[in-house]
Amino acid sequence: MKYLFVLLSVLLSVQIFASPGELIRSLPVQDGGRIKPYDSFAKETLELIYGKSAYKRQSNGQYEQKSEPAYLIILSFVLAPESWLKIPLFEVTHLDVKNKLKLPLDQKHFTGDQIFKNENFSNLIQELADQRQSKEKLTPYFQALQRIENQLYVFRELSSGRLMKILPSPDSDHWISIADLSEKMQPYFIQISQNFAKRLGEISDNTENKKNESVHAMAFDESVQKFKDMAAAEYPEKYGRSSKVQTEVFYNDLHPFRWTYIIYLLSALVLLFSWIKSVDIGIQIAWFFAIFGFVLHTSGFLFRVYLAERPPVTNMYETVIWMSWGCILFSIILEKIYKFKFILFAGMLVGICSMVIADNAPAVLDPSIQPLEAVLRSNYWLIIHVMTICISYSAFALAWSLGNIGLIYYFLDEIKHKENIQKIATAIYRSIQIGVAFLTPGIILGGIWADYSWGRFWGWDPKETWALIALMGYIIVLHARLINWLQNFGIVVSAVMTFSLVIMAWYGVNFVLGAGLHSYGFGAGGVEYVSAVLLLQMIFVLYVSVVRHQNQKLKQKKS
Amino acid sequence: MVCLTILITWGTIVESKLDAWSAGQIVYRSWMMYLVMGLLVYNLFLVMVDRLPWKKHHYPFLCVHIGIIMMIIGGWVTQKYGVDGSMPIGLNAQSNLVTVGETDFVVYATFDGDRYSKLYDQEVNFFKNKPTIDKPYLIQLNSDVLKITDYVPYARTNKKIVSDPDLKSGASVKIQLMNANVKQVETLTQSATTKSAEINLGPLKVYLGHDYVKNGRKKPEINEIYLNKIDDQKISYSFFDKNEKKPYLLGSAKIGQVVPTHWMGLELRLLDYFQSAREEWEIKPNDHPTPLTTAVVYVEYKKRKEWILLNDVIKIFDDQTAYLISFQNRRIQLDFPVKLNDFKVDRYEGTQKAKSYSSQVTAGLDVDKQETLISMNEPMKYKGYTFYQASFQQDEQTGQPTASVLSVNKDPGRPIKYIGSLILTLGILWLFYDRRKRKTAT
Repeated sequence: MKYLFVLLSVLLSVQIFASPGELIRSLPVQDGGRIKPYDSFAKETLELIYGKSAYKRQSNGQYEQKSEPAYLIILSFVLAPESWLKIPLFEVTHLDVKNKLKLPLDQKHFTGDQIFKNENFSNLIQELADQRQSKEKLTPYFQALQRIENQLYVFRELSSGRLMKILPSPDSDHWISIADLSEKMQPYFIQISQNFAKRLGEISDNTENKKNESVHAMAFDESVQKFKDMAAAEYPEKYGRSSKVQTEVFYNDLHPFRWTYIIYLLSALVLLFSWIKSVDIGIQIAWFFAIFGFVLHTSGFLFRVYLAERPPVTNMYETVIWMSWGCILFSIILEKIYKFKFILFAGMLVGICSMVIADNAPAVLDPSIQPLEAVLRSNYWLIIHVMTICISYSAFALAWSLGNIGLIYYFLDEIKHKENIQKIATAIYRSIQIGVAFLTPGIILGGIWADYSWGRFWGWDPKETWALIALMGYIIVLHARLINWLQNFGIVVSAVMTFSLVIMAWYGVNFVLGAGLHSYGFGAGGVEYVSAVLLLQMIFVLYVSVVRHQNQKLKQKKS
Repeated sequence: MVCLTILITWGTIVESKLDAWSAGQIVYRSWMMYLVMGLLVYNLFLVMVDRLPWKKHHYPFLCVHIGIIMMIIGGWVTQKYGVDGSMPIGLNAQSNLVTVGETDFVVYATFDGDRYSKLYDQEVNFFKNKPTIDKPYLIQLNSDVLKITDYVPYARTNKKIVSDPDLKSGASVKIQLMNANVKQVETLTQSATTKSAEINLGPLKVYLGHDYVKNGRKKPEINEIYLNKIDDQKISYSFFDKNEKKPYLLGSAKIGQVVPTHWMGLELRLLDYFQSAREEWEIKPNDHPTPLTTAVVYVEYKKRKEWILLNDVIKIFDDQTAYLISFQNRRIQLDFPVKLNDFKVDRYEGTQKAKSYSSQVTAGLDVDKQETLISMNEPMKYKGYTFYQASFQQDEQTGQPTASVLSVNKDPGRPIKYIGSLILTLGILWLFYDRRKRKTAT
């Protein structure tokens, strides 16, 4: 444990001292219903326009290696928008939309002129307006159009200085944007922009003349600090509420969840090694990494609780993180009890997969912290109901991961690994039991919450119904195991297959069906990947079953 | 259980294509659902009987099964005896009507035009039992029969003016006002010969069917145009400048004729005219519901054939009687009113996104009674009913809320469900604990 803290503190200390020229990142900005640091604002805005939270310059159609942070890019939009119009900046990914705008299909980013001055652009926007008028659901095509419309809006408002709201207003909740700053405050912002220009100049200066680097950076910081001080003096109470921005910048830098999966990966590799080679020392190291990763995972989670002032289980991104947390927890507990090695390994696998996905698909799993929908603002029930259900998914995910390991064993050699298979079947059975023991109360709690806030206990809403379907799937498996319909192979296969019900209940209802009262969690994207994974999974199961069947036939013939 | 799983899976798919109400009608309230649920209860019960005599280790298992059975029974009680509806209340208004999902067909009749008596009131479920030309839904009205021959669950609607042979109906005109900059088309329809129709067009106002000779000008301080029917071909027009006693232009016009107005070079063109007309609905069926679609039925009475929208009323006549016909959601009358005193929307700072909304209401007749605050997740309980904040209506221009929508609910099955779920949860935890003990023991 001692080492753990040393490592953790080393990791943290690297990030604590922000380098000069970066003070602007913690400038409070009002956006999306909350006060956030300019850093988060810049990242989220760049993500909408460009698709990533850091920008890579292009030369001759090739992306450069070096990426530039969002906080520089966005500020330069604000101060010199015209210089960006000729640069491929706006991300368009939908093929149909590209076709209609006659954009080259092999590119991802386009210039403002290419899109907004396109002859078909206004037609497409009209098409979108018509679709909205008809109140039909927006298909992915229209969602892509909607994104372009947003990109245009954000870029326009940003460059006019109206989007970035940096100063509290004396008489309303709406903060004042750069464009509307009072005469008293304006000089301070002009100072910032002048120093920023100098700072940009020195960053892009690739010659060895780096002597002035820190001078300009310090001047830039100083001007930001002056602005902050003035704002704080002017509006001590309203500006004082933005005390969390510093922590949020720190959280942005720390990337706790990225470190988490890297460490889980280390743990899994060590485990795999010691498992195959049957060395015992490895286990200690693997445990160390696992616990360390878990601590980091937990701390990242706690950071979000602190920043958002609510349990972070309200969108897909947050539930993925919470689910994998639960999965690691269960695998640690079960591993402690049974000491099978592969339980921890299975947990790590789920942890790695889900964290990698969560960290790398911001378009589908939105990591930004958003304010809650009105109906969800009853934290008490929300916490209990969503958390219970998601933690049951953790147990099922563990069973799924174990099931796949089991399938690999069957694939390798059923007889040789008989003992291990027996262990896996036990572990799967346990995980499913844990899952059912959480899912049932979770669904009932959901019912109670629904009864309390909507006035009905059960309304056959798709989300409810699918959770029930998943539950019944697992109950069928448990009953079948109880009366010995399912042997070891059966339970391994069903652990894998039944998990697709969970995927449907969890992901599918929100992203594929898109109906019902749980609409505040709805999103789009990634359908093709998820279905591909499910398909591959099925093919794998079928393949192993066929192989096993043939092996058995062979054996029968021999005997 | 497998059957149930498949059935409700189908249900969610139906729901994603249509809406919750249709899915309920097609799947969750179908005989198949009842059958499967019944079989499940029967099965759970049999398994329990099968284990007789019960030993100690059977208790958790019994708990779980009893819990499930109770929850299913509770659900059935709710469906059978519960009330689940909504109640929109305007700001500073009161209401005691709860609108529920069931639909009724209602006919009122009057002989003197003032007092209406209910002639017919029957629950109808056209969604399940769709009326057709071959199998129409029939209502006997004195000597004639009202026939309902079609039903469209999701229709987009459009108003249309048609000529009406009945001369009691008012006139209708379609006019166009245009100059170099402006081109505006408007339709004016009198609801009856005795009632005038009017429209505001910025600096001037147009009236149809107002006799200014007899009753004087309506608004002498602005420019006005009065249109009146002459016969089935022509209308008369009278143009008044503001503050002038006499019309400066008088005449009559036929369809297609253009009259210059002398105001900013505007010309008045008569595009269409019926001496007696009524508004009728034109419908376009849709294969799935959207916020713009509504259910419609096609009614035929004597020679008249037209669509009626859900919750809309039409008037038909025979020789001495006038009938009001309506296809409507059932409205349950509570024996107490609910008054909306205030409604508030909190928004997230700097945005239009609603953070929370709440209604300040007084329930019951007692004026001095304390106000209750109903907000999201904070319902009000009164006389066995529970009132929840569901949504609100707002003015499209100003964005100011105009009415609060409460959902009203009475659920006699609730205690059964709650006790059932308690037993079930305890049973599962017990079962889990018990198994663990046994497994570790062996």
